Amino acid sequence: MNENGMYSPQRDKEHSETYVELRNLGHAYDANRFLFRHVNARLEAGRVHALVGPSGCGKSTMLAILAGWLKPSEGAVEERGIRSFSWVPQQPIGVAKRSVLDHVVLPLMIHGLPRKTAENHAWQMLRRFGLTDIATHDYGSLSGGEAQRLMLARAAATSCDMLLIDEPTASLDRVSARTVISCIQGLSSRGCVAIVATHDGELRDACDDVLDLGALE
Amino acid sequence: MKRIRKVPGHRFRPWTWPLSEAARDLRESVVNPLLWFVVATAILLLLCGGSDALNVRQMLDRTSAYRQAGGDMMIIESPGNISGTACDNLSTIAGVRSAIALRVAGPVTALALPDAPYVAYETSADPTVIFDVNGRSGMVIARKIADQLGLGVGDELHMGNGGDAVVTGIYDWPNDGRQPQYASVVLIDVPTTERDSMFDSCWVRAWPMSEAMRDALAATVADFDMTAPGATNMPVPTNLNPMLSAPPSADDYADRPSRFAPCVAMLLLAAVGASAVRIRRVELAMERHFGANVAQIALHIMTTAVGWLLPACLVSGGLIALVLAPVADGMMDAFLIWIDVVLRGLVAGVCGAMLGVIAAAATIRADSLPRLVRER
Repeated sequence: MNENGMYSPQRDKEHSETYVELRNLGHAYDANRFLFRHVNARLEAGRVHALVGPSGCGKSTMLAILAGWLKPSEGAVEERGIRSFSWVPQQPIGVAKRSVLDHVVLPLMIHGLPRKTAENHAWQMLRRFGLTDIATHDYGSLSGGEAQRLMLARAAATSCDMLLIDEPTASLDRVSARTVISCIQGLSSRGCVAIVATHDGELRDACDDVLDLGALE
Repeated sequence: MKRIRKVPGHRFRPWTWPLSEAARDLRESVVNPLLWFVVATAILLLLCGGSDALNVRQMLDRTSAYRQAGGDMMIIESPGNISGTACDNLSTIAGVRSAIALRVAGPVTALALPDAPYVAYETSADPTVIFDVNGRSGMVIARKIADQLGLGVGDELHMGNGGDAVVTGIYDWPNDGRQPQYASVVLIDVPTTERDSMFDSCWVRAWPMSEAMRDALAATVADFDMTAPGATNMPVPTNLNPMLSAPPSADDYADRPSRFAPCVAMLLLAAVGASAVRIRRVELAMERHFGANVAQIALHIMTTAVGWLLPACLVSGGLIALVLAPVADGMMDAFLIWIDVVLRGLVAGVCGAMLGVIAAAATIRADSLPRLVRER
């Protein structure tokens, strides 16, 4: 816990740099049909990286590789300073009869915080993502935009080193999408590596860097 | 380069959050506890414990009917050769409810029916248990005699010799196959000083009846002389009611097909426990993603399951106890039957549910999240 009462895992002093480096990364589901190949990029902490490309180009696959859930067909992923990550799914995942606050508290309790401390930190997250007014509402009553912001708040609450966000505005109207985009823009200040898979042009333009899988061979 | 990723530690309070989350899930009805309660109760009550309880109840009913028809009574007859003391002493054997010796006494003639004397027997001890007497020992008459003379317990029987005697008890003798010659007799206590004399028969009421009991009954015959005039075979103990077929035995009970009901309960509730996890697999996969381990996931769901499993056990166990209680032979017997028939099924069911939860929880993986989200 830092001096502001924010939950913050102690950074590894040996790794003052935090990044993810993609080296000649490629993945194919069939023997000769690669989704993407020869991907080289360095994804730095403190920046929001947009992962773009047409549908089917492998954006979600890339996120699964970065999560360590899928082994790439070729190339490698080097991580430095990445001890934990959070994945924000395209479709929000929640428990209909549990409150918004409970959804943010749970991962903090899993990390070992007592409930009272976890609630205090959760309230700060909800404030940051504009969800305090609906903190006691059931998840089942949330709109799409509110649910997506809740997913982001929950992912950011654990102070992970890497955030993987899959198509956060895919099923949202423009107004809701913009609130989510503004939340994502604020992620760069958290000092983590944030990677957003999207085909939303407005979200892409709001990010710091763009990795276009569709432009690769 | 090998990817080194350290999962955030959760060394502190690793077991409190699953318990508190389970409590909240139950409080908020996240898991629809009523539905699971109904399912678990149906399995425990109808398919498993209930079927075994009904089977056991039928066996106990048949046993009870057997005993009520005299199946728990054995007699050995050897006129003048039965030691009254030896017969009375059988009542000290474990399982023996009562033992008395009988011998023919002089007939009793009622003043109202001077031409129809009643056969009378002297008894070495209190006949109230052997004959299910309504009243006490002294002068006990059969229901048939009581109806003929219009007498009740406490009434005076005016006898043909001018004497009077108070009817101290009346016994029923159903026409269910038991030896009919005792349907219309008078039973009279002998004085205490005469109990150590010889009688004609020894009666024992005991349950369960065993070979050792039969041997003890046979041993009440004193010095049987096979060479004496009129002697045929060595007296052997016989059932009071020779028409009865054998009741369910201990082997029948042990071999009953429904004894596998606990196994069925275990398997079915294992499936229920696994279903309780499967239904929440996406949410639980997210918990794994946040750093929860399999044990914590299992504890979370197991604790939630207790919320509907415990009431199901209480309701099922209570209802089955009501089925079995009427045929139990006392509190201890009822308790032992309940343990064997009900508790085994409940324990097996609970263990099955927990094992199902643990097995299903072990299959929940964080890397399944993309697939699970797509499938929703």
